[in-house]
Amino acid sequence: MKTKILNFSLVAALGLMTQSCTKDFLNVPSKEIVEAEDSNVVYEPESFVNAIYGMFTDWNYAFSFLGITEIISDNADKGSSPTDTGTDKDILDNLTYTSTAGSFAAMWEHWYKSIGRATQAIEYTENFGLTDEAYKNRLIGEARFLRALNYFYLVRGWGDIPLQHIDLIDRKPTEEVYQFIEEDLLFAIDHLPLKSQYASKDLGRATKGAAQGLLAKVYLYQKKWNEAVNMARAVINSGEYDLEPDYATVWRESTENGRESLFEFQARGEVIAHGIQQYSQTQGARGATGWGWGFNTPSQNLLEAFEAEGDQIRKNATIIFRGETLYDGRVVGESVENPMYNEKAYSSANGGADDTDKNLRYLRFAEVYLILAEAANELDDFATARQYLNLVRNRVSLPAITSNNKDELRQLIWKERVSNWQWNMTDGST
Amino acid sequence: MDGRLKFDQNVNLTLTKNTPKPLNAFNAAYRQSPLVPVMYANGRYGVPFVNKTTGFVTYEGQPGDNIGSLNSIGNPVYEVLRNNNLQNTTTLQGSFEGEFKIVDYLKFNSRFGATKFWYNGRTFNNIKHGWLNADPTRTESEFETLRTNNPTSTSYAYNSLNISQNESFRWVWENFLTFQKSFDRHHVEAILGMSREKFDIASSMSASAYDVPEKEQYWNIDLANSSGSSAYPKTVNQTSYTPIALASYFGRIQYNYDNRYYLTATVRRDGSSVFKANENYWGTFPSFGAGWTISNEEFMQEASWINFLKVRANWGELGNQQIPLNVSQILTSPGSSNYNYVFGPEQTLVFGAAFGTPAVDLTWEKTREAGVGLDFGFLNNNLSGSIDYYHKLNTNTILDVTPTLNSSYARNFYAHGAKVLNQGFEAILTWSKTLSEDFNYSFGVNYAYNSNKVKEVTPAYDGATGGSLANGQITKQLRVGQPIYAWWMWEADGVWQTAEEIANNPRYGSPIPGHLRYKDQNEDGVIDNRDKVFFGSYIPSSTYGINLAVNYKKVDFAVYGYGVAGNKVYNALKGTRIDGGENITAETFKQRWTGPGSTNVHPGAARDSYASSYYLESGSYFRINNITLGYTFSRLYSNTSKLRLYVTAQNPFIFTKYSGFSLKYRECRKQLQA
Repeated sequence: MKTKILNFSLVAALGLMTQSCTKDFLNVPSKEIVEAEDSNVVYEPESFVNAIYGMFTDWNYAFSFLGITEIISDNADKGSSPTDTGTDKDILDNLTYTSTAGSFAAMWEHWYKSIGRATQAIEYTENFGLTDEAYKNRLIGEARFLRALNYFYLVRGWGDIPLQHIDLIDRKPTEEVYQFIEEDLLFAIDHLPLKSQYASKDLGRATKGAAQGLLAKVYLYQKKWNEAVNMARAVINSGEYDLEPDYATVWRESTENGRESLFEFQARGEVIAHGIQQYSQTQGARGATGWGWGFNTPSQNLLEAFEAEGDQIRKNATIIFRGETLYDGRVVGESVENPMYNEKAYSSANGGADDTDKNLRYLRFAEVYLILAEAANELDDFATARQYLNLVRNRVSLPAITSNNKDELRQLIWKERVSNWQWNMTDGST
Repeated sequence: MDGRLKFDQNVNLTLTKNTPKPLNAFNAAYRQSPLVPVMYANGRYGVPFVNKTTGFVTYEGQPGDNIGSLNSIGNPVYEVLRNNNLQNTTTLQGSFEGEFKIVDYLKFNSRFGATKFWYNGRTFNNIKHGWLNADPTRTESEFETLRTNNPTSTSYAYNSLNISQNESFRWVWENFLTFQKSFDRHHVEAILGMSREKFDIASSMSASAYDVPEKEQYWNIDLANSSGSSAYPKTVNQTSYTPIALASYFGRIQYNYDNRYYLTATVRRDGSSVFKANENYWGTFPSFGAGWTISNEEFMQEASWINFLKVRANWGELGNQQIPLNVSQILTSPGSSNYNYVFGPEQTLVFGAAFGTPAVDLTWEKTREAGVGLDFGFLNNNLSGSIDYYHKLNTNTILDVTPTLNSSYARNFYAHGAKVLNQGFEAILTWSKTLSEDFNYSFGVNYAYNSNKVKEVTPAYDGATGGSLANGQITKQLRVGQPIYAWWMWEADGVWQTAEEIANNPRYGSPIPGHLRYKDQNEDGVIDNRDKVFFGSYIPSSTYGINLAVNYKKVDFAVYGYGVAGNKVYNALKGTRIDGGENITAETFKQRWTGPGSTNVHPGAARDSYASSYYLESGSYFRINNITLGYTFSRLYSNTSKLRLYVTAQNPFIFTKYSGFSLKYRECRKQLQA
C-alpha cells in the first residue's frame, strides 16, 4: 500500500515537471479583487460615475480643504487650541505658508484624482456598449460636470495647471483650462436632465441646472459678463429653483436638496453611507460639552461684517456662539474653548461622530442671483443688478439697495458674498 | 524491501486563547498627565479637561469659565477596561515523509507538509458607556434623547458586537533525488529536486451588529437589536483571498578532492504566482562556491600551531518574490469609502467602482552576492573563528511607489526602481580552553559591519517619503547616495530666544521664544521642505555579541550579550506632540528653555510639533540578554541519571544613552510586565 503511494507520487512528480502543467499551477486567479480585464463582466458604467461623486466624501474635504479655502481667508480662523497647528492650518491662517504646506498638496492631489476618475468613467461608459443613448450621455454628462467642477477648483487656486489628459508636468495657460471646463459644462448642459426630470432615487446627481449655474460662475470668473448673465438667466427661467423662505433653515437637514439647491455633496452620516468623513467633527465645538476639534472658526471680521449690516438672521444661522442653545436644543456650554464655531458644518444628528449627515452646499440658487447681479452691474444694467441683489437681501429682512453707482454696487454685491462666510471656493453666498 | 523504505510522520495541534489589551493604553499611561484623575467623584472616568480660567485640571467651573482640553490623550485605565476582545486560534500541523533507497549511493525523498489555521475573534464595544465617559457632564437622559431623535445613527446604539473568523491553509510538497559517492579521493554529492508550495489559501468572515444583551453569555449576532426599540443593520463581510503558489526545480553538486579542494554549484529555477500580471513567473538563480583547506596540504603539516585554515569564495544570485498580488484591479469597497455615495430623498447608498493603478510588469527581485571568507583554528583549536567579506547588490529593488500627485491613479503601485548595495564584513572569534577535567571555559565575540546605500533610483520614484509620525509629519526619504529610507528632516539649530530674533530670521509657522529654531539650509530666507536634510539611517551599521561560558565541576555559568551601533532612533517619547499638558520626564522638565539665555539646545514648555533632528538620538545599545547559572546532580539513582537545576535571567541589563522607551518596544514592555 505504502509503495503504491510512493509510486503514485513519483508519477505525479514527473507529471508536474512539465511546463504547461506548472503554468496552470502558477496562474492563480485573483479572488478578493476584480481584475481590470474582468470589469465589463462585473460593473455597469454607473458604478464608475458614482465613484467620482464618492471623492466628495473624503477626509480631505474635512480638513485640508477648510485650510486652503476658509482658514486662509479673512472670514475664518484656525480655531482649536493655540498649540494645535492642525498640521499646517496655523501657517495658512497667518499667511506664512509656502508652496510645500501639506494642505495644498492634499487638495491638488485630491482634485486631480477626482478628475482621473471622471475621465476613466467617461471612457468606460463610451466603450461599454450601452444602447440607451440618452442614459449613456447622461452618465457622461455627470462625469464631465464633475470633471469641470474639480478643474474649476484647481484653476482658481493655481492658474496655469497641467491638463491631465495632455501632460502631467506641462502647465497649460489659464484660458486653455477654462476652455476645457466650458466644453465639459456645455456638454453637460446639453445632455443632463433637469432636476425635476430625474427619477426620485437619483436626487443629488448633477443636473442641467447645476451645470448652467456652475458655467455662469465659470464665466463670471473670466469676466465674460454677457455669457454669465445668459447662463444665470437660464437657471432662473428654468423654473426649477427658488429661495428657501426661511434663511435659518438653509444649512439644516430639512432643506437638503431642496428648492434652493443646485448641487450638494451628499451625506447620510452612517457607517458605509458616511458623508464627508469627520466634516462636522473637525469643526465641532471643542472642550467640555463640545463635540469636536474646534477648527475653522468664524473670524471677528466676519462677525463684525454681520453686525455692521444688522444682519441678525444670517449671523445666527452661520455662527455657533459659546453658551448658545442651538435650534435642536443642544446646549453649547459656557466652557467650550473658542467663542465661535461654524454652524454651517453642524450636524444635529451626528454631532462629533466620525460620520456626518451634513450635505455640503456647493451651489445654491441665491448665488445664481448674485452672479447675475454682478455680471449685469458690469454691463451697466444697474436695475437688474439691484433687483437680484435685493431678492437676496429681502429674504433676510435687510433694506433694499437703491444705489445707481457701478463701483458702489460692485462693492455691495461683493459684501453680500463676504458677509456670508464660506467664501467663493465652496459657497460664496448669502 | 530490506529496510530500504522509511516513513516518518508527525502531527501537531496548538490551541491559544488571548484577551489582548490595547497597546495604546501603555502609551496613554506614559503620556497622560498625572493631574487627570482616573475617575471623577460622579463615577465617570477621567478625561483631560482643564478649566483654563482657573488653571485647575477639572471639568467643573463657574459659569463663563473656559474649559478646554489639556491634551488629546485617553485615560489608560478606561482604555484597558473598555477594550473587550477575545481571540481563539487553533493550528493543526502535519507532515509526512518517505525515503526510498534505490541503490546505496542513490535515494529518493518525498515530503509533504500542511498547516491549517483557524481564528475566532470577538469584540464587544459598549458605545453608551464610551459616550458617557468621554465627558463627565453628559447624562444618560441626554443619550436617550439623542438615541430617540436619531434612531438610525449607530453612534447612539447601546453597544456593538463584532465576530470575525478566519481560516487559512498552506501546503508544501518536495521531492528530491540524492546521489552520494566517493571515488578514491573524489567525493561527490548531487541533489536534484522539485517542490510545489501553496499558501494563503484563506478566507475571512466577519459580522457586526448592535444592541446585543449586556450579559456576556448572550453576545451573539442573532440576539442583536434586543432592546426592542432598535433596528440597526447587521453587516456581514466575507472574502476569500488569492493564494500564492510557488514552484521550484533545483540541483546542486558538491565536489571535493581529498578534503582540500571544494567546489559547489547550485542552480534553482523558481516560479511564483505573484508575477501573474505579465506571466513572467520564472527566475533562474545560479550560485557557485570554491574552497581550499590549506591546513590539509602537505606543506602545512610543519606549522603545528595551525590546526585548521580554509579560504572560501562565493558568487551567486538570490531571488525575492515577496510582493502582494500585482494585478491591474478595479477598486471597490463594501464599507465606508470614497467609492460609494448616496442619492435620493432617503439618501440611499449606491456602490461605485474605480480603476486602480495599472500594474507595472514585475519580475523577481535579484540580489547578486559575492564574498570571500577565511575559517581558522589555531593553538590546538583553542582559538577559532572566521572572517567574511560580502558585497550584495540588489539589482532591481521593488519599490512601493506613490503615483504622481496629478496623475489619474491614486493607489500606490509596485515597480522595479532602485539598486541597493549592502556590503560589509563579519568576524567571529572564540577562545576556549579545557584546563582540567573539572574546569573549562570559553569566550567568544562576534562583530559585523554593514553599509547600506541606495545606488540608483528611477528618477520618477526618487524622493518617496515615509516614516509618518501620524500628525502630518514625515521623517524619512528615499534618495540616491543615502541609506534606504534614511532620516530626513529639519536640522534643529538652537532655540528661539527672543521675539526679536524670530522676527529677523527665517522661520516656519508662528514660533514663539522657546520653540526650536530650524536651519535654513538653502539660505533662501524661508523654512520649508527644501531645507530638510539627511541624518543617517535607522539601520545599525555595527552589530556585535559576546558569550562567556564556564564549567567548574558541577557548576555551569554562561553570559550572552549583544549590541548594535551606528543607527539613529526618532525619540517618539520626547517627540512631537500637538498639545502640551502631557506627562513628561523629569529630565525634559529640568532641561527645558525657561527664558532668554537659559539654553540653546532644549525647547521650552511650549513646543511645536515639527519633526527635526532634535528628536533623533543614537540608537546604540548593548544588552546582556541571558545569564544562566546551573548545577548538575549526577548519579541520582543510576550511573547515567542526571538532574540539572538552573536559574536564568532574561534581558537583565541594557546599556544605552537613548532616552525613550520605544527602542526595543516589545522587549521593554515585557520587562515592565515582569
